[in-house]
Amino acid sequence: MRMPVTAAQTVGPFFSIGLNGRLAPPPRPPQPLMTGCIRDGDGAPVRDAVLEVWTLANPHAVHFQRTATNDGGVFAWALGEDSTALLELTGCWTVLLFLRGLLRPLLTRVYLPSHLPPAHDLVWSRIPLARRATLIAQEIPSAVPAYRWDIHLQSTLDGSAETAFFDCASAE
Amino acid sequence: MNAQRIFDRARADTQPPLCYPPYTSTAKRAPLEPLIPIPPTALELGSPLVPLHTCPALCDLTQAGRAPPLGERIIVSGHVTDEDGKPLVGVLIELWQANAAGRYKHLHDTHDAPIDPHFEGSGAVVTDADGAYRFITIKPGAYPWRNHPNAWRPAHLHFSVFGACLLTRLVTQMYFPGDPLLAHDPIFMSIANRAARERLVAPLDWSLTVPEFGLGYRFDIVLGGRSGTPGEQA
Ligand SMILES: [Fe+2]
Repeated sequence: MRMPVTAAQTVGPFFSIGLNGRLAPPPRPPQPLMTGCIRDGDGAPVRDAVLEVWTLANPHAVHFQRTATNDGGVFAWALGEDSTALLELTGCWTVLLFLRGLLRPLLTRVYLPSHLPPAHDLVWSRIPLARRATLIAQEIPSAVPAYRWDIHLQSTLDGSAETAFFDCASAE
Repeated sequence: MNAQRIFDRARADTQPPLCYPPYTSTAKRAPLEPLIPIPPTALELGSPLVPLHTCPALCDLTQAGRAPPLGERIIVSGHVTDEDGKPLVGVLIELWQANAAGRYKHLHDTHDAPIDPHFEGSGAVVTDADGAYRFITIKPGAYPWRNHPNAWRPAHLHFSVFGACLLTRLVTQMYFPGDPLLAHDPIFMSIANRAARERLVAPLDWSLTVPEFGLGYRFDIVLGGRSGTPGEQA
């Protein structure tokens, strides 16, 4: 008998009470990092978001880290010493986004301009051409690898495009 | 193996939508473009190396302070299974909640209700060999929020659940039976399917209730994922 999957509910504004114990320490420059700002449909920074970042550690296991935005809506996660090796394996980081105002999490990905997937890639090929740029981080001039990737929950009047978000399931 | 597991697209009425106008924060925060359908890859199916060790398990939230917290002590327990009903072992469950007065121990909670110095409001456990978990805590109070004039959240516990892979990840809320605020709560009511909604309401359970100690509530959790048999129809 099939059991129905439990319904999701928003993480709410006070998640740090329950989740902070397992937040990754923020990266300290000159540590390699990915950073950016999350903005809502008004372009206002989202100060209460949790990001869960999943990268392939080997073909069967996923490295997991969790980070939160600060009062400026800014997040950052450390890329680690082995980030280049990991990238050869995955080509991207997968991000689950939780925040007040989201009744269920959003799934997205971030790619590096130097490691864009081939045209036939199972995921990349499904992203409309016009939206791919929203998933490509920009290099920050720095002694160590550092990248900027902003997340826009909706497109805004100043011309920022809504970030591409996914719905992942086995069957179409 | 996750590679043989099937993850179905969520039925639209048993999970909340992204945009739900009665929950006003969704208006500027929910994406407006349709989600892009993608198949699972190794990233979505791989087992997470979750750093469980970074925070010790804490199943009794009433023992975290120097003295017992104020409020009605309760037991919240249940099983975590997949869609086939198979118990899921070693699942990390994180819990957070308001105190008995309806106040979170959080800088941004400005509700004018007292903070309980003996209540942090956070716990974490890992499911046992039967997929079971058990928390001891206190019943949280209802609290006001600014969604609409005179808006109040029903008493609830926040749950975060880690299954075998990214596709089983679940963040939800558990509610209490008979709460008159439920029908007025846009977060609860965002789930269109009544049965799906009611599954977030934990029934009072005599087998979990401990005499002279506390009432027990049963909250079973089902994570996405089922075994695939060739030729089976979804
Ligand atoms: Fe809450």
